Amino acid sequence: MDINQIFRLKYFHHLCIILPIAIALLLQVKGAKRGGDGGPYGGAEEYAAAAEKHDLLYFRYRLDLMHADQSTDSSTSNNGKPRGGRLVPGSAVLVARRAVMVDSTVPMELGHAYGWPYWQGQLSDQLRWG
Amino acid sequence: MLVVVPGGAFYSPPSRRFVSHLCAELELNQLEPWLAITPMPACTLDLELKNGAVEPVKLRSIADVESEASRLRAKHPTSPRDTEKSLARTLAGHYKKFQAQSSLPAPYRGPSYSDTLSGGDITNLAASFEVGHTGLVLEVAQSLAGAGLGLFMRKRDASAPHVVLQAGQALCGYPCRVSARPMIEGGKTILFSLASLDDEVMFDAKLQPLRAVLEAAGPSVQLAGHVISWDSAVPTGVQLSDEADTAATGMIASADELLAGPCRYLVPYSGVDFTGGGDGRPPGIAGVGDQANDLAVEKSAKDGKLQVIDAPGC
Repeated sequence: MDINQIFRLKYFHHLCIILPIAIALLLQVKGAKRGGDGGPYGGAEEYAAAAEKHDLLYFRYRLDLMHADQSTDSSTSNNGKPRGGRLVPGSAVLVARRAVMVDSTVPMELGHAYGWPYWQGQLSDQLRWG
Repeated sequence: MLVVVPGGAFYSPPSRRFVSHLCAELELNQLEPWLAITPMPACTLDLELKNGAVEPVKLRSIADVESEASRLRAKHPTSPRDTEKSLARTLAGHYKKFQAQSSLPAPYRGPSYSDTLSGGDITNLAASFEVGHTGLVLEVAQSLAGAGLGLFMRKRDASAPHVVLQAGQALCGYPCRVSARPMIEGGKTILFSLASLDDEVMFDAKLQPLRAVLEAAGPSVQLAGHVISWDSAVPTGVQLSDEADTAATGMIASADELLAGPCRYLVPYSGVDFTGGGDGRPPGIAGVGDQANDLAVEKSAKDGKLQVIDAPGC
């Protein structure tokens, strides 16, 4: 066995060890990028990236202050102190995610991301209700 | 209501003397109090012609340049050096300078019918109305992202001023009612869940953090479906009521009975007539928000059509 053969054999063993590890690491990184942890959020990053790109609008809750006497006209009593009551959700609003200029007469569709709370709620309900 | 704000910008090129000033014309909406869309300020200037006359000019958009140049030329035919072309060039330069000083955001370029293979006009138009007198038109028509209707936005016409939507600007309402059951209507049902005191909510006609709302309201105020923990008069946390730890220290508001339980959803209220109902009422801008689709889309490599990326879990 000459010196070249010894080297080839030596590196072959190294390759046998390193290659499977490298492949395993690559697969893991790729899976993580795709959100592919095997859980219910697989593909979350693809969805989020596309939504970020196109969904100009996002949802914001609108709250109304309902006083104990059911009126919503003022948050303070006659003496200037809070009267108490509860903040309840009202008809919500869609808000611009980023500043844009509308300069075209061509109708362009507006996207609205539904938001993760909805999907999280769905999933947690599935868990709760079995 | 007209509010004029002089900008005080003076520009004096050597060949001809201009005294221009920038004015912001803000027409306030007679709309929902939370809606404060304003048209882009118009560029106004006093243009001194070569015959010595000074003419006020107002440019709402670059499209006004030609008509204003034509008007000036017709009004001053005895000024031979002020040709319509040179006037238009001068006015265009002023408008571009005005735009640069205004630091406008990037134009919105969403999916449009011109992107489709047919390149046709908008179809199945269900509603079309201008938001106040801003020049901004909202339309409900056949969505490009899939079946059903979608929400569209455009400028009224070429002569209308551009409209700037700032980040955080409310564009339209999302009609919904509270339900204890997750009624899924096209994926538009939304869980009422505030996870952080930093979450922004619309209250008192403005977008503000929940923390600010609670601090102003005080510890005696509860938040439906949630419990708020307080340290003295400062809110320190918010969480859904069904996950509340009632043994936690400090003051904890009791859960709202109406929204107690595992589910509290905001379900689109499809009873809202966004077309105006034909009884003379203006179209309800508060009622079109749920027509907007999730445009988590990408163009298909196969046929170029927009394909929706399904949100995981659905």
